[in-house]
Amino acid sequence: MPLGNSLMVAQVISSAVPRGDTSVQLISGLLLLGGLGFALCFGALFLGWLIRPRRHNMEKDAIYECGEPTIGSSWVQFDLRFYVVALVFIVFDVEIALFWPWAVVYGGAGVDAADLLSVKTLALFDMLFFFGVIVVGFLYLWRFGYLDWVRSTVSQQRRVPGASLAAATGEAKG
Amino acid sequence: MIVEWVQGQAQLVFSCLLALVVVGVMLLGVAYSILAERWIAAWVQDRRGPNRAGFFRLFGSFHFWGLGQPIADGGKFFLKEDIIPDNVDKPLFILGPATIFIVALVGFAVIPWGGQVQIGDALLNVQVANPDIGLLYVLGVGSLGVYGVVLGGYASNNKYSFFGGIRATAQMLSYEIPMGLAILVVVLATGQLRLEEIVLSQMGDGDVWNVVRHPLACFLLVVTLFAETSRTPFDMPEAEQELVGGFHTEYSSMKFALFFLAEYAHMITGSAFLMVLFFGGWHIPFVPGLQPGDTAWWAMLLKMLVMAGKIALMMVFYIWVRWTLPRLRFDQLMRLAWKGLVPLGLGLIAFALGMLYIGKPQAWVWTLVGNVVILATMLGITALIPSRVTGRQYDMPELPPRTSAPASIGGP
Repeated sequence: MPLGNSLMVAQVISSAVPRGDTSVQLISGLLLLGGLGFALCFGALFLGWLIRPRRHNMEKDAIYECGEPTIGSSWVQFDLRFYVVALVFIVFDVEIALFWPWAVVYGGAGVDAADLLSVKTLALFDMLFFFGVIVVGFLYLWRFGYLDWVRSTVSQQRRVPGASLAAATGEAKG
Repeated sequence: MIVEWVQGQAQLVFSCLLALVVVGVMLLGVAYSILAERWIAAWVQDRRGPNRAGFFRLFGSFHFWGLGQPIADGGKFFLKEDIIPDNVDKPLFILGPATIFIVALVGFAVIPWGGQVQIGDALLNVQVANPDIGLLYVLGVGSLGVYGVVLGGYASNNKYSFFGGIRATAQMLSYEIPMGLAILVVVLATGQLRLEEIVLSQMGDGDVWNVVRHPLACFLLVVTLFAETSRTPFDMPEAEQELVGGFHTEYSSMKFALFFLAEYAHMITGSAFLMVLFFGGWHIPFVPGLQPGDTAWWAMLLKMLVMAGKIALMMVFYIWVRWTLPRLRFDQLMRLAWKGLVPLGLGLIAFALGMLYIGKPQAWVWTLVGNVVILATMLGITALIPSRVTGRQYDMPELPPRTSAPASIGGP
């Protein structure tokens, strides 16, 4: 059978499959796989708990930090740069998430883009504006050094009016 | 109405059976991909891998090339003592590996394994579920895995674990963005979120696999998959030489095994996802039995076999890369994500939008030309940016000028 025919058959077939039941399928699949994972995970832990030895001692129950006695808790304040990464991630992820439904609707809307004033063109320019906002935000982050993992004081001094890059490095040298 | 309802139920029963089979095969595959990893590692490093654990010496001194090793390992995971240190946050300590393991299994729900099959009167999807939002589901479930790592790292109350968990979070979050962008290119081109439809869009007259249409997006997805599964060269969360074992330093016996299994399960899901998006899923051009019109049961088995073979190839690639490339430093890792992959992804999106507007999103000759142009532009811009010593602050004194004679290793 030539490929074109088989594709047409496939399209006919995929339109013949009832689509109303997919959410039931998804939920049942999710529950089944999740339940299976839950059972396997806690079943294995429980089975092991029944048969494995338990011999506690103080040394064994201590936190392993290369044999040195532990100093303090590890739940301490951590570097602020991780916070910036999380913040930038949220902004970007939400923006990309808004892109997805648009991509599906626009991509499925057919291919006649001749008329400049059609809804399709307007939708494209809407999305380009949105995309531009993402890019400008990204360039802002880049310009002011939020994407640099190793930060220096220079990028902060750059923002102070009158302080040039050369002056900043000169100060650091002196 | 009734016929449709019955058809839906047949699909449901079939889906449940398929889920059981897939999970069974997947767990076996995970166990043996760990063995494969050790074999390939031994081969790369020119030494002998695990080759002793056979089956009770039933066959004299013949050991079956060490094929009993995963079973022996599994037995050990059950029998070894499970240490929960004194100062950990106990509920979260158990919840960490449980979360990552369950989430790794749930991701399989929407992967299309073998097109459609005719059983009796009913045409069934060889897929646990075929929702409209298949791609979003994979992405959402995939990024839930970060919770397991964070919980494990946080609950251990160990500095190594904590830093491993924090690093893992930053890394996975950073690589989510280029991953989303790479997938968005495919979504823009096909206008579909259903994985089965994306597979179907790669076959037929004049259609080619998406890897030919969007090679850069494919590259982007491969790189981010390595980062999302924390494989070398992106295995910062568990960098042994720096962080002992990273987020699983404090874990022993079965809880460690859950982390380990989940890592490999994530790799398998990621490989399946990559194959569906860019390598035609179960399809091979011109091979009878692997075309969308073939719905006999043997065709379904053949398709599943092809899919499994493709996934196995990708797993070998994962392992090959692990034993070839050194680990990146953390600042290099973040720079690659934010200053390399995200701009590349944004460029690809812009190009895909343009192709979509002129109504030829899938014309592979033109997308190929566009990809080459984008790559050349990126490389050109990279060449124009002056290189500087990474990891070094701007305001430090200048380095001494480089002499023509090779400096001693380590430098001044």
